[in-house]
Amino acid sequence: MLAMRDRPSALGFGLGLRPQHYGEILDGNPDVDWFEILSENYFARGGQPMRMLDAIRERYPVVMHGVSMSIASTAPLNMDYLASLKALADRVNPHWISDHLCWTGVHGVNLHDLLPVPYTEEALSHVADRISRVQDYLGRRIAIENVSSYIEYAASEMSEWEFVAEVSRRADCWLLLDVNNVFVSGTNHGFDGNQFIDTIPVDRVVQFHLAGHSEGNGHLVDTHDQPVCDEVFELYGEALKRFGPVSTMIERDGNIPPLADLVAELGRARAVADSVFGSGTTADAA
Amino acid sequence: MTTGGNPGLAELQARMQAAILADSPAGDALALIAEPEGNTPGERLETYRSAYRIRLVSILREEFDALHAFLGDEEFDALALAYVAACPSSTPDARWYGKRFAGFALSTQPWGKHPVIGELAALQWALSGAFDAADAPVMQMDDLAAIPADAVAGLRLTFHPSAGLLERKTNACEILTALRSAAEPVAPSTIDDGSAVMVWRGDNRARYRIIEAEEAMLAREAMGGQDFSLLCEMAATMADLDTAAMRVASVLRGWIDSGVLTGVQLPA
Repeated sequence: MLAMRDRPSALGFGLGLRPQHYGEILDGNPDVDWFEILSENYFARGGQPMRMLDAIRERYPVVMHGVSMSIASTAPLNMDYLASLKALADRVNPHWISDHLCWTGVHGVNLHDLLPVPYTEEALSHVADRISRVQDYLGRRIAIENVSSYIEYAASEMSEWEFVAEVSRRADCWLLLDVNNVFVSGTNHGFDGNQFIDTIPVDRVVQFHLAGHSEGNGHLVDTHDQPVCDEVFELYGEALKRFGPVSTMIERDGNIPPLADLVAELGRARAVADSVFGSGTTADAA
Repeated sequence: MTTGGNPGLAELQARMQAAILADSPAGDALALIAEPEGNTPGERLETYRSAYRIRLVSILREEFDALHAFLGDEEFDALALAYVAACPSSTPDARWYGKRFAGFALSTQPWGKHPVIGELAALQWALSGAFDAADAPVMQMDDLAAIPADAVAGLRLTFHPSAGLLERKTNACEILTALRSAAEPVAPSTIDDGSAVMVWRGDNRARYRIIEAEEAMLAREAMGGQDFSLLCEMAATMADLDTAAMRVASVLRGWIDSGVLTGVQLPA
């Protein structure tokens, strides 16, 4: 039985580590509590990327975040991928490892996208079983992230939040709650983000993602190339009220600004947390 | 397995993927999608379809930025989209998606008629590989001095994981140098002098240099596992016999200085 005390300690306020910022991080010791690395960027590599990662690891806690586990795919689990992930984890010693509740391809193809699943009992059983197998292989719980989606399947038998919550229970995994993804999918599919948040088990959530999105053709698209919008910060405040102090970070993958801009944006997340918990209490509460 | 007349998960994923990869949206995927507010299912599906192409072209633009600058947006994207259509990604790591790009450009018309395109892509790909190749200790001059004299003839060189050799039929290397230094553009031309391009990592940077015919031959053979005595014999066929061993030794010192070698294998 999972207890709240099993949940990893909150790390504070972090950023996604991007190569553009290596120098600024090492030269400036920015006011960032931790970094999330993209696991695939460091698979079986040497040279400067690993050297930079090693240097940053010495100063900051690190978590690993992947985009290619394809946990919901009906293709066999990619054991080479998992071996690389395990080897990297052995070297990096991350606080946790995460990936997305999605599939990225079948029949040997990788679409390099985070495709949603139909919220069916079949998919639920399939995904929970695969998460369990991955956790057994890695010897640790992983955190699974809700994705942004632009479609809903006619086959779905339950809501996304019911699906996510039940996956976490059946697989006994952590959850990475992407607040922007809740907002994007909620806007695209006409649900209230608070309803999503209020259904997710509190003891499962180890991390929040914040990110920006763009206006698509009549719907929102999860582009990570804009600042976090007001509505997402507002929803983040609601999430903090439900889940308490949870490790929070901002993802930026396009139009990447100088590190100082992201640190300033992270300051806004700190301010939201201060408004929920009282100034200066977030680190202690962790 | 099917539920309530809906396809099972495997069939759903296969149909969705086919619709994303296809030149035009497949109708049988549209039936999988619930009617959204404010859009048609086709418009929502199109977001995934266009994002797929934009993402892969963007990966290629970033990986082959010099070739992109050389060709310009329109020509580069035409090549990139042809590659995306012909070569779906099979790698979990987008970093490796461009692995077959140079070969595709060399073997597919109309780009194949201009081998400088494929060679520039191959050079950039090799440099990317050198940049983050596995780490390994680099051979030092002292290591060379420590080799027993009677073992020299049979020794084989071990190259650093970042080291590579590219044959060249065009001046792609000079074009890359001009692009990187913002110098005057260099017009494409053919090369047929036996020279090649050596690629490696030094001081955490991917490096390249043109090597003349004799050094190119020595690199080719040494990377193929030939021993020092054979390298000397081959050098003797290319220029003055009496100085062949000295010339090979000089090349060897240059490789050690630049960090191309990790060590030597002594004869059993």
